[in-house]
Amino acid sequence: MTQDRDLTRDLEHWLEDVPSSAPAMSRATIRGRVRETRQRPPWLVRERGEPYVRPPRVSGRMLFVGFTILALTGATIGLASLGGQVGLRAARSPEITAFPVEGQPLGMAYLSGSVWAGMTDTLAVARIDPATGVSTNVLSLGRNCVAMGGVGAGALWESTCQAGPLVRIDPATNTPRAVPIEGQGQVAATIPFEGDVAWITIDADAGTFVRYDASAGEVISRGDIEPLGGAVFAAGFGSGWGVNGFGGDEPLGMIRIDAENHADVTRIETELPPVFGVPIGDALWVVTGIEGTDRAVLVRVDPDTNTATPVLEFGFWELHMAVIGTDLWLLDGSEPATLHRVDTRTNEITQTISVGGEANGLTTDGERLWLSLLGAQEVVRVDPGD
Amino acid sequence: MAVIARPLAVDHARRPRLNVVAAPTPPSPAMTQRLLVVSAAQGDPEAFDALVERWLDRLFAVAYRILQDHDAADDATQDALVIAWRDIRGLRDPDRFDAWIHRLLVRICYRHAVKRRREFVRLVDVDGIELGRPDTTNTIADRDLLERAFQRLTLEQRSVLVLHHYLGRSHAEIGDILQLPEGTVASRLHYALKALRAALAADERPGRPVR
Repeated sequence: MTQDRDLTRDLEHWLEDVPSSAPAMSRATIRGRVRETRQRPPWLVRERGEPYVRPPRVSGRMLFVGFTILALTGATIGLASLGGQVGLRAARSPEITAFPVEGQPLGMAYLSGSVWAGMTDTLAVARIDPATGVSTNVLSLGRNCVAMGGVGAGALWESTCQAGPLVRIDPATNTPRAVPIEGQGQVAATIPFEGDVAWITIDADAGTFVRYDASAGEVISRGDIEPLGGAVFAAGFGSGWGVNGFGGDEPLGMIRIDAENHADVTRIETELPPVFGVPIGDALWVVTGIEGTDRAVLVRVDPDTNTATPVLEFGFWELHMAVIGTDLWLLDGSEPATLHRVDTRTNEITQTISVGGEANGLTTDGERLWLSLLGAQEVVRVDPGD
Repeated sequence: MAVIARPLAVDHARRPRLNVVAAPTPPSPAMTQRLLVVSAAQGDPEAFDALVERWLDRLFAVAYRILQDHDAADDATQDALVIAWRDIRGLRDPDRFDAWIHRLLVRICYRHAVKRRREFVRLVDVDGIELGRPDTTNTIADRDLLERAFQRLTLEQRSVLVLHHYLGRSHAEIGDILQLPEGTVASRLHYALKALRAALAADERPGRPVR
């Protein structure tokens, strides 16, 4: 106890001595930003744990349909029945429900009928019933990170983002197990799978990766490509897809590594470096962006021609990805967090949902989307509706 | 002692003339803040400027202690105040502005920390370090040592330590700010101190890598 008193006393003295005045320019900056910022209506400002259902709205497209019908049929049908038609089309609006969890969720994943959320503060993983939002199990990892690296071979895979071991979580037993890999340095957060085989970047600085057969529990090949300058961020089409161009004179973009012959490497130039990627249908969809900027470009990579085509541009560098059918869902987690639904057949945004708050992780249970809210000890379920 | 302004129950015709100028009652600081919050919530930017004047340094001090980075603390403080202006209409009880603004600030600090966490994580594995028993007769004279150890804590651990040991907030008040049960706050404080002690012990042991 004496030690505790000494430590807290010294801590308090040290905290007291740290500078406490904001820079002189801050007042003017805040004043300027306040004048440019519109206040939000109270219903958009949620408190923790409160389910929030966005009031039904008629989208611009629906309004257009409504006015077109009005113009064509106004004389014969009448306003009352028209109102009914417009209302009917807008009936299934998105439903957003927040559920409290014990801890600060970050990464999200879906496996074996459960939503899994990694907690940055407790370094635990919560298993959540998607129907009720209740945490049915909490597994302590005792390690960072909790980005929910990947799902494959019937298990959840978590890197430590450090030199610690890879962790495999078996949903049947709710047991985390360390998976040591020889030569491992700092493991990348993302662990992409193609089938049961994971591409694991075991040392991002050295550009070293392994292909790991998760069902057999063995490393089946190893590659060492420089300058990788990052991690293998996606897997698909018989290849691993990595970040390229942070190192030497290589052009900015991504790198495609053949699964059978790691020396077979294709460089694909993009304006911005890749952040996340996911295969949908016959293409790889990749979010490209640079941390800290207000810009991200969604690109479609044709694996037959190895060409990247910009599809859409967004105002925030980091967009998390989830796939439902042929729809790609992108999460712009900057406040207020916003979901964009992209039809990958037409390359168009077909729906936008403002969730509110700041969000980070994104996953899907096949019908609904699940987000982790920053600083809120909440996960949020979004039923996109029609 | 505050002067209470009220009608005098006297016969004005017979009241002696006094050379006293009745001063208006100065509102209490809490009342002033309440009025400013209500005015700001009604869209008055000048009232919000006055709130910024009151809170800027205090919030910066908290952010700086949590983030341990001057520029990041400045950014976080600015962001928190701008978001406060944007969302203040959602604050149902003006008297809870204090807890609310701290909650916003800590959330913004989390955001900064999450960004940094993606790049590289330094974390003290409390369970993996044999804490040993440091010499209890010596206090920690080396402030750099304490600073380095503090920087190795998670943001959540730093937050509770700052709120409790710098702002002097009780477990219940911290629970209100962080929206955690009191028991969780107590537990978090306990483990934060444990982690701090572990980090100090690790630093004092030469050659041992600290992740």
